[in-house]
Amino acid sequence: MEQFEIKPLFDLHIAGYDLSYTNSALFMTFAVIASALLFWSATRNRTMVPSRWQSIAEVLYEFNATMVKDNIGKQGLKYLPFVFTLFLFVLLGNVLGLMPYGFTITSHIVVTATLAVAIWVGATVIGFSRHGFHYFSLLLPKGTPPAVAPFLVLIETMSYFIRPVSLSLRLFANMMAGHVLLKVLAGFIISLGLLFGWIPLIAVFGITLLEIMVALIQAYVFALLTCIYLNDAVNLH
Amino acid sequence: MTDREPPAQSTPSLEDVAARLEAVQAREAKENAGAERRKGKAEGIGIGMRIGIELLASVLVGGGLGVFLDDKLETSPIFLLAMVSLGFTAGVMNVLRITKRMDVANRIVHGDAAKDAKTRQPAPSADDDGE
Amino acid sequence: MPQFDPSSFPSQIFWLVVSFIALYLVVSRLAVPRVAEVLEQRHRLVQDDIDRAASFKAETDQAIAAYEQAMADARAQAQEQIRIVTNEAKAIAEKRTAEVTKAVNDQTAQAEARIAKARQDALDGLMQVAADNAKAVVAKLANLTPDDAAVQSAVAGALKETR
Repeated sequence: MEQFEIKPLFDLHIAGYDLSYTNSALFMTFAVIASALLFWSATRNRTMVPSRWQSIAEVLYEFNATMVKDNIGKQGLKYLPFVFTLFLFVLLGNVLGLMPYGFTITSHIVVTATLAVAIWVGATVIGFSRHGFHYFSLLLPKGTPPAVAPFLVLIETMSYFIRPVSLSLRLFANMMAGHVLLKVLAGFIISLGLLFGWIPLIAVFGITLLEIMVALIQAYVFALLTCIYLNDAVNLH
Repeated sequence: MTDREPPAQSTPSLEDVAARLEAVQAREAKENAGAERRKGKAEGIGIGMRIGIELLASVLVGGGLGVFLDDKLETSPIFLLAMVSLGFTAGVMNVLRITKRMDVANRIVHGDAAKDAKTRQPAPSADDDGE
Repeated sequence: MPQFDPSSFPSQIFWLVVSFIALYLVVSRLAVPRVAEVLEQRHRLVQDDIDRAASFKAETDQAIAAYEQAMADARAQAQEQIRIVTNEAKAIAEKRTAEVTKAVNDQTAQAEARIAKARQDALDGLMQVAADNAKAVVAKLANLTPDDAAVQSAVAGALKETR
């Protein structure tokens, strides 16, 4: 599918790897620049009564800070920059792809999987460094009868390894499905011509609104699950 | 005849001030409760989106692990079947866990929200002194 | 599906890591500290205002209570003062009345005594005169010199009858 195509813009080969700057990298750069611009202009003249951009920055901050505090607690606030970065990256990755000629960086499984695995490994490392060997008790829910304990440990171990897969798969699938649907419907507009083309046009309009919602929700879910996994690592039970 | 008395607004009575102060303090408390409700709603939506993918991912991980073990130990298809069923069980358990969380979130969003907020008000909770 | 073409993976992962680190720096160095600061400031400002209003109100309440207390105290004190003064005045008045009454009584008694004495004197004088007269009359008429005692008792008897 053409909209998911990775096109190199500048060739770059290092140590035998093709690290070319692509359209995907371009939209990642856009995400960084957009965030930097937002926060730079929002916080340039900080006022007690916020300007429009400052309000947006504050709402985003409060949203993430509340999510972190609710799920990990006060001590989780040291992970706020990471969760906030994740949220912004995924959100902008989702939303920038909805724009005309946009490219959705989160519609690529490599990207979502890299993020998910990094989160999973990070949470595991934090868990073991905070609780040592005791972190294994995460795999045995409290109050399990001894008879089913081995079976439950197996299942919980499986669940733990499923975490990064479902985390990356969810974001990837949602982003790809939405965009494929939009693309197909947009194709109908042209093929049905002037006479019936307005039917899919309305559908495209509705689904675009829906996709904006999905983009927001998926960014939220991604950050929320990160918080939940971090909570397991920080607070154990 | 000139009315020498100042208009009522210029010097508010003590009762006015007291009432306004109380209103402001009540609003502060309500805002905290409101944040709690919003959180419940957003979490409900977010968790709902997880269920389908959760099952798919579970079976995929189980299948992948099964195929890998079968390949190494040449026991096809024993581990594939075992791991897929184990993965599926884990997936179902995760879904059950999610729905349980969603129930909690729904209870906060609907029906009991007002009651919840009311009962929560007098007891100062440990983690909302941050705002 | 271009998503499953591994040839693009190294590039995507590399630029993902680079841009994610860049974004992390933006968020952790710029966004979080600045927004947290302004939110903290605003919260402190609002809370300060509310606290100050509350403390002003408490002060006002206190002042009103103090004023009312002072008023009550003053009233009680005044009443006490009035009571003391009234009592004093009453005591003085009573004393004076007693003194005057006593003086009046004394004087009355003295006067009565004097009157009684004067009367007695007068009576005694009268009796003497009457006795002398009676003696003279008797001497002149009967050429007798009656006994003084007899004359006097006769006079006293006569006086008693006229009375």
